[in-house]
This record gives sequence, structure tokens and C-alpha cells, in this order.
Amino acid sequence: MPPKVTRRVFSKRTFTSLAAVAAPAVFPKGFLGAAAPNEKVLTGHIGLGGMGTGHLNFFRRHVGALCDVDTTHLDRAAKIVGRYVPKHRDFRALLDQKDLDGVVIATPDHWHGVMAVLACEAGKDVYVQKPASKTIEEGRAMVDAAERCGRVMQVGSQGRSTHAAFQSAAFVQNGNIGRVREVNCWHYENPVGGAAGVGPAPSNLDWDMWVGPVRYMGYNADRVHFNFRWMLELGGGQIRDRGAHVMSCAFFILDADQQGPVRVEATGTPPRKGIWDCPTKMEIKYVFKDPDWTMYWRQPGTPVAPMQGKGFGSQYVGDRGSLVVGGGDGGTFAEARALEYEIPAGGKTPYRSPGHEQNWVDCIRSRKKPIMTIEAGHAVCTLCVLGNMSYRLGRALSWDPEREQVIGDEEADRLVRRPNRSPWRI
Amino acid sequence: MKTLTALPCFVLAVGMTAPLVGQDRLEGFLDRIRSEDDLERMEARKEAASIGPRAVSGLAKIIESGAREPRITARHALTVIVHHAGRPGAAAERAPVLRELEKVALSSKLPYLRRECVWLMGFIGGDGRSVEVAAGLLGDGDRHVAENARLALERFAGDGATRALVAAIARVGDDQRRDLLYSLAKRGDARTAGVFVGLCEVRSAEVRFAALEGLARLGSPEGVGPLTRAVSRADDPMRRKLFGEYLRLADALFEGSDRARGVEMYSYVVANAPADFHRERALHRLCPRGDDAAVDQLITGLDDSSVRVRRLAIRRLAALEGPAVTAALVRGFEGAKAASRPILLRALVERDAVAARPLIARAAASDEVELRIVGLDLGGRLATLDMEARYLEVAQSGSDAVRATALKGYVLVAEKRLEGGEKPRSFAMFLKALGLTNDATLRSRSLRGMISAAEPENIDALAPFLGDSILAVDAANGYIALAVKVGAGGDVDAAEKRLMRIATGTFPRDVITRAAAELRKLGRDPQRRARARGFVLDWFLTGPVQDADGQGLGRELEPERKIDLGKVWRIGPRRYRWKKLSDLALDGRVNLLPVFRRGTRVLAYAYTELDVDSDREVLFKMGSDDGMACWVNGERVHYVLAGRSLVVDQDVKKVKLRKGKNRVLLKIQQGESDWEFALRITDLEGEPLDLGRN
Repeated sequence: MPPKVTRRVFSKRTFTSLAAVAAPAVFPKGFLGAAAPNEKVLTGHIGLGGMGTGHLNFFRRHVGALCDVDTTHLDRAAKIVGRYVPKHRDFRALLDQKDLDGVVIATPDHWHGVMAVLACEAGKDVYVQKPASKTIEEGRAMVDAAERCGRVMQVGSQGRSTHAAFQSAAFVQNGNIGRVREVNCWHYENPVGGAAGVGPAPSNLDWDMWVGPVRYMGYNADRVHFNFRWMLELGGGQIRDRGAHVMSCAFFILDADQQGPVRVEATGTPPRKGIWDCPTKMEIKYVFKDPDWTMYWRQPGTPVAPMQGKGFGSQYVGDRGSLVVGGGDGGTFAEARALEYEIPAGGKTPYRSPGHEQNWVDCIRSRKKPIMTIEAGHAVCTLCVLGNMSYRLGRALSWDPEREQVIGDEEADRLVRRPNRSPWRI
Repeated sequence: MKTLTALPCFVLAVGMTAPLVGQDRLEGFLDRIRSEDDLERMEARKEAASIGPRAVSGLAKIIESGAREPRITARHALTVIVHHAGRPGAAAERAPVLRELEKVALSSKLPYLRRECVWLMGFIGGDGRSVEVAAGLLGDGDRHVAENARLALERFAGDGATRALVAAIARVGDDQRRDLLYSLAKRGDARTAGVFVGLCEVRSAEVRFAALEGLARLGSPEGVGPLTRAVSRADDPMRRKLFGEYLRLADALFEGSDRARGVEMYSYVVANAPADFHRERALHRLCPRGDDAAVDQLITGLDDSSVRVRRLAIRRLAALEGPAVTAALVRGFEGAKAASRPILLRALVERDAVAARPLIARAAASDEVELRIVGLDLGGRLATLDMEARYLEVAQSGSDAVRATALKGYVLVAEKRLEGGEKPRSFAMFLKALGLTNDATLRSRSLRGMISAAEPENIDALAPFLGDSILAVDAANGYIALAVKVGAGGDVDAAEKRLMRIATGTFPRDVITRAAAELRKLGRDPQRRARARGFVLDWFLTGPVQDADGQGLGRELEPERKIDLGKVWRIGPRRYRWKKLSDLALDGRVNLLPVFRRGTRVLAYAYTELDVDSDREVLFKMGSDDGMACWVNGERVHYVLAGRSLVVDQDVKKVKLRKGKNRVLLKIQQGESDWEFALRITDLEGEPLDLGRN
């Protein structure tokens, strides 16, 4: 008997739920093997700085544990969650929590690989922020761990989950600009700064744990929290931060996740002072084969009309026209002709995501692949890492994307991997 | 600090192989690196590659004792020299650079510099001398230097580093031995397996684990025996971790040299590992998607005690195709344990509903209660009244796989009783069901049933669900409906109390508005209590304005200069309107999140007018989450830039009001999370004043 209560505000969610209960007695195929569609997914959150707390907006109802090496971050996040959840300073304690289905890793980049691999080995699904890893070897270990352990791993290049990226991908993949020969990415420069010197870390911060798997360095406020981004050895600059967004969109739009470059050549201008050592200006050329195309990362580059106002973006040049996509992260913008494009019958339909975080939660339940798999995240991150490697070494690199080896350059090939400080292992 | 003695022959070697760079040029280069001029240092840095090894000791001195910026440039220059020497075709240039780095690494008093040099050696080192130096630095008194030496040895090319690691493992203490074993394993030389085997039974648990881990990482068949022995010791505190390594080795063998051994090891894990995620992982590897050779193993997996393993088994079973699989499932059903039969029956229905039909009929009549429940469900007969007690029993203490179905049956029976007019009994059943599940669908359905079955006197039974993150809105609507009935029954005070709970709660605005409307229908002012405490409740609001740097509270915008409530105001292309919102602050706290939605790094303005009969001084008692500023008649009377939670009356200011209309403007800052404010006005003795009605 239907309830008598008038419910104008009765949410869509409730109607969906009722439909599920009223479903036929014979369950649809796949129902049993997956968690029920509305079964609660419980998440542990490691790294609660800017991105980490941002994730709590979506995950607030899912949160089952919080972890940060900085207690001020931890307390702030607990306030946002607004109810009791276990708090940890050591992520291994969080991984030991049996009730968690997945972990959301939003730490500085140098921690992503170790945490993601250990999370997989502890039976957790993983949402790891971009860029996926600090080295190519580590990215490969993440791919292997997800596969070996049967885990769902989503990399946080959320631009792919935007409507603009979907429309742009549909537009390009259905031949509207012909075969794409060139992609031009632009972004503004890296900052200059960071005062030298080391000192005692504040009592709220477990500095040794913050340093984690990278070689030891002393505490300096200009290294921690978001400043890590401007250190080549830690964050790697805009090419790894926004590059992992913009180039993720490029791979998505071109359906090129399976490709890797065969040659990478970077030039750049080192900062004139300060400890932040990422090049202020940078230009990278990536050459791809079979199919043949070239991608440029220009920092700064020239924004292309009609996206002149966007600080970063990409232009796709095909043999029958071009398309410009602004942004590439959560703010991704497409030209009107792409936004209005309707996929013809029989046309190619790219992966459509309901939202990046929701997509991961859905995949935890369905055990399907998310839109930004670790394989794709690793492929994109490889571009970022190779770009910085070429800049640091001051020479072009020949790359074997199958074997993930630098060809004919023994020193460069050593940089594909970086030994981790004890006791952190992948 | 322990150091190795620098050997004269290496000094000689440096002298013989270093590129000849004039002393003047070298000095000039170092002078420019020491310069305070940023551009000059940058230009010098570009030259570092061409100066080469002779610059190393000079750069090291700058790092040791130079000024701040030159120290940074010198370190960068060292890196440039190393990478330049590492370029293809420049093998001859590496040795001189290494020799210079070694000299600094062995002689510098500054641990940071020793650390840095041995790290840089890692990029290009691996010859005999660099291995010897790095191995010596494993004993450095500074643990970070010793650790960087280990990292360099892990990275060096050539067998020399492997031999050095093996030698060091024999001589160092347990702590360092553990890490060296890891480095040795990372080098991936299968010939070193014996080193690990030899340490698999030592007393130190850490070393023993590192040795076993090393064998797993090497993918060495020699590891099978020691690892099997290790995981079979039920009392080993590291057993769970060891199973992880056992799986690592199984993966290596499965994908490499010995697939059959890998299968055997996975089967062992499925049968013996204490952690369900290890069993799940082994089953995942053992039964790849679509491999019908694995069907029997998957059926066994259905008997696992963990739901995650059973789910995997079912998923993989569902992915299998062909009549042979259906036959195997039927066979499995006949031979399975009672606990697995319901699951197998469901899996069979998913695959082949026709083949499952006779089994469903049998199940629905079975003496095995759980199987019977699943049979009834699959046969569409779950709403069977005489199963009520069985459903409850299984819902409370049945197996994971059937508990939800039993509860679903229980709810269906409750609905049937409600339809039959058995309101009190069905009400109690729905309430019980709500306490038995976290499933949102069933909870939502039970709550709806409960609301439909409730009588006004049951209203307080809904109260616990007002704080439920999923059910709150439904519960609030039911609560309002019942409160209205309570009021209609004559007890207006009781109805007011309940409706005020909704009106002042954290519910969506339309729910609050409805509660307020019902209060007015009962002749009660929903804002009465708050007004009586002096809260200002009627506001015009505008925003949200971006505040990316968090400093916008002190930045003057148009509303601080001029307010015209009927007009749009702008910041660049963005347009803002004033909107009046009533019933927004029934308890005095104005929650801005439902008004503006966007919730981080923004600002909003709130405006109201106060009428007073004569000039007077009053107290403004304010609070905000986060910072706030307040202007009265254009004059700023309060400013607090802070990330904080709202506490009523947290800021108190004495304010002069003029006879007639007084303009009050608030600016409320939002960092993240909650966003709200409150303003209460009292006289100087603290007696509340009701002044604010627009």
C-alpha cells in the first residue's frame, strides 16, 4: 500500500530505491556478484590537504577513516566529516581497517605508488590522485598490483569525466576533424621561489613520514604541503600537475591510452633563484608512431581561440579541421560545435562517466573498469615523467613504450626507477 | 663518522682523465656561482657541463659554506655535471666525475653534502671504485648518508654492486641487513637466491621476513619451500604478511617458469590464508574471468566464510558460458553444503532460468530454511504470511547470503499486514526491520511503511530517523504529517514542539518551510522563540562572491559602498541580485549553504534594517562560520578574519542606533564546510530586543 504522506520533496534517490525493491524476484544478471547498487561503500582517506578535503565533499557519507601526517589537516577533515570516524597518522593502520572497501589517496605525489600498491595488497580498491606515480617503474608496479590483486583503481584526472571531454572525444573520434596529427597543449609557467634552509618541523607534522619513500631531506616549510609541487624530485611542476589533466584529456579524446611516445625532447629554463627547481618555461615534444602524431607541451604556450581566456588547454589539429579544449581538469571546456554534437547511429561512443568519484564508487560495486584506469593513468604519467627526465638530463630520449625502457641511454634508463628509502617498498 | 682512506692512485686517475679546464676559467665560473646576482648565477650554471669534474670540489665548498642562493645554484650545477657525464657516448667522462664526487663524499664534514654526493653517484656509478666508496659509506655515522649509499648500490649498474651488497649483508647489523636484502632483491639477480635462503630461519623476525620477501621478489623457485614452511606456522605473528609474499612468489611462478606450481600455491592460499583478501586475490588469479576450467574451484569458493570471496566466485561463475558450466552448477548445487545452495541456486537462475525452474520449486518446499527463503524469492512468493517468524529469525542470525532476502520477505509480509488493516502489528514489524539492516532500499521502504502504519501517538518512534543521513528527509515529512494530526487532535503545544524540531533542524529548505507553514496554520509563529531571544531573522542576501585567497573580507565591494536592493550589482561580468529569504533562520542561525550551494572560498552579504524609536545604544551579539564583518549605517563596527565554527554570541559589540531606520550589513566569509551566521540584539543589560523585521 503506498504511503499517504504527500512528499513533494521526495527525492529521486528514494524513487530509485523503491524501484529496486519492487524489481522482479529473479535478479538481473550480475546482481549477485556485485555489491548491491546502493550498498554503502566505505572509504579511507589518506592525505587531507587541499585535494583530500575537496574529496570529502563527495565522499562525506562514505568516509570510514581519515589519515594525515599533519594533525591540523586531520582535525580539519574530521570537522568536515562531522561524525566520529577513526583518525590515523600512519596509513598502514588505516589499511588494516577491515571495514574499508577503498582508499582515496590524495597525498603528495611521491607517496602515491607505495600507498596504492600496499592498498591493493591489503585488498582495498583505490582512488589515487594524479599524477599516478613519481617514477615509471612505480606506475608499472601500480598497474601490476591492481591486476594481481583484482582491484579497481581510478586515477584522479577528473577532466575525463566532464561532459565537455565526453563531447570532445565523441566529436573527434567520429572523424569530425579527420585524422589528428598534432596536439598542442598550453599552460602557464612554474613559479620561482622557496627559501633555502632546514629547521625543526612543527609538532603537528610527522616529517619523517611526510618524506616517506624519497631520499631524506630536512624540513623546510617551502617544501611541504602544496609547495612540494615545485620540487622536481617531489611534485615535478605544472607538467605533472596540470599536464596529468590536459594530457589525460588528450589521450581520452584521441582514444590513445594504449599508446606511448617513441621520442621525447624537452627544453626549459631553470628558475633564477630559490629551492623550487622546476623549470619556469618548458617546451616538450612527444612523437608517437602507429598511428603517427605529435604532441607539444608549451609552458607558457599561446592559448588558442576560442579559449584565449583559459590558463591551460589543448588544441587538436586534424587533416580536416581542428578543435580546441579549454582546461582539462574539473574545469574542462569544449567548443560549441563539440558540445552540440550528437553521435550518429552506429557512431563511436566514448566511455561516459557520471562524475569521476561516482564512477569509481560505481565500479567498486560493479567491478567494472573505471574511466581513468591505472593503466591509462600510468600511460599519462609516463609522459609527464619522461618530459621532466629529458629536461633534467638536457637531452632527447628515445623511448620503447612496450618495454618501458630508454633506448641507448643507460643513465636515463636508471631514472625510470628510483630506489625508495627504507622501509618503503613497491 | 667513518670514512674510507682516499687512495692516491685514484687522485692520480682524476688528474689523468679530467678534461683540461683552465684555472682562470674554473675560478671565474665558481665566482659567478657565488654571485649574489641571480642572472649571473644562472648563466654560470649553464657552463657547468663544459667545466666538468674540476668544478666539483669548488662547488662542494660553496655548498658547505656559501651564501644561501649560491648554495642552491652550486647543487644544481653539480647535478648538471653528473647528467652531462652520463650522456650516451661519454663513458670516459664518468670516471673523473665519480672520483671527484667520491672525494667529497668521503671527506666532507657536512652530512648533507656526503648524502648528496653519494646520491649523485647513483646516477652514473657502478665501477669498482664507486662501488667500494658507496659500500664504505654504508657505515657512515649519519644514517641518512648510509641510507643514500644503500640506494646508490641498489641503482648502480654491474655485478660489482651486487657483490658489495652480498658482502655487506654478511657484516652489518640486523636493521641494515633487512634493507640491504631488499636492495639485493631489487637488483633481480637470480644467482643471489642462496643468500636469501641462508637467512630464512634466522632469529630476527625482520631479517627472516626480508629474506623470504627477497625470494618472493626474485621469483625464485628456491623460495617455495621456505615460504610454504613459513606460512604453515599458524602461530607466526607475521603469518598474514608472509601470505602476501607467498602470493607474490606464486604470481611470479604462475606468469613465469612454473605455472603448475603457481596454481598449487594459489590453491593453498584459498584453503589456508587467514585474511579474506588474500583468499580473494588467489581465487582471482586462479580463476581468470571466462576460464571454465576453473568452475569447480569457483564452486568451492562459494563455501568461503567471507562475502568478498563468495562474491568473486559468483561473479566469475556468472561470466562463464556454455552448457557445461550450467551442468557444473547443477552438480555443484546437488553436492554443495547447505550454506552454499542458496547462492548456487541464484547463480544458476542468473545463467539459465529454465534449467533452474525445477530447482526453484524444490527449494521453495525445502526443509532448509535459507534455501526455502531463496526458493520463495526466486518463485515470486516471498510475501507468505506464515513465514513471518522464519524471516525474522534468518534476518537476525542467518547467513550473509540470505539475511537480506529474509528481511525483504519480512518487510513484504509487514506490507501485506498493513494492507489487511493490521496497523499496530505492521508498524512494529517495520520498526524492527529498520533496526536490522543498513540497506538503504529496505530501510527506505520500511520507513515508508512505518509512516503509513503510524498513529499520532507513534510520532516519537520516528525521531531517531531524523538524524539518519539517508532517511532524514522522509522521516521529517512523516514527522510533520503526524505532528499535524497531533495538532488536529487538540494538543497544539505538543504539535508545536514537534514541528519546531523540524523547523529548526538541519533539513532541506522546503521541509523547513513546510514545517513553518504548518506551525502558522496552527496559529503559532515559528520564529517566536528566536525573536524572543532577540535574533534578527529577516535578511536580504546576495552572493556568493569568489574569495580564492581568503582575504576578501577586507576587500571593499559594491554593497559596502551602496545598497540598492532592487538592482543588480556586478563584479566584472558576474551579476549579483539581492534576494529576501524568510523562514531561513527559525532558530536564529542563518545557514547560507542551502541558499548559495557553492560552499568553499566564497563570501556573501546579508542586509537588514532596524527601526528604533529613539537614539540608543544596544549590544550586537554576533557569530559566524567562518569570518565576518559588520557595518551599521555605513560604519564598520566589527571585523573578524578567522576560520571558525559559529557559536551564538561569540562576538559582542556595543552599537549606537539612530532614531528611525538603521542599515545593518554583514559580510560572511566561507572557507569550507559549514557556512552560517547569527545576530542577536539586546539592550546593554542583556535583555533581548525584537527590532529586526523587514
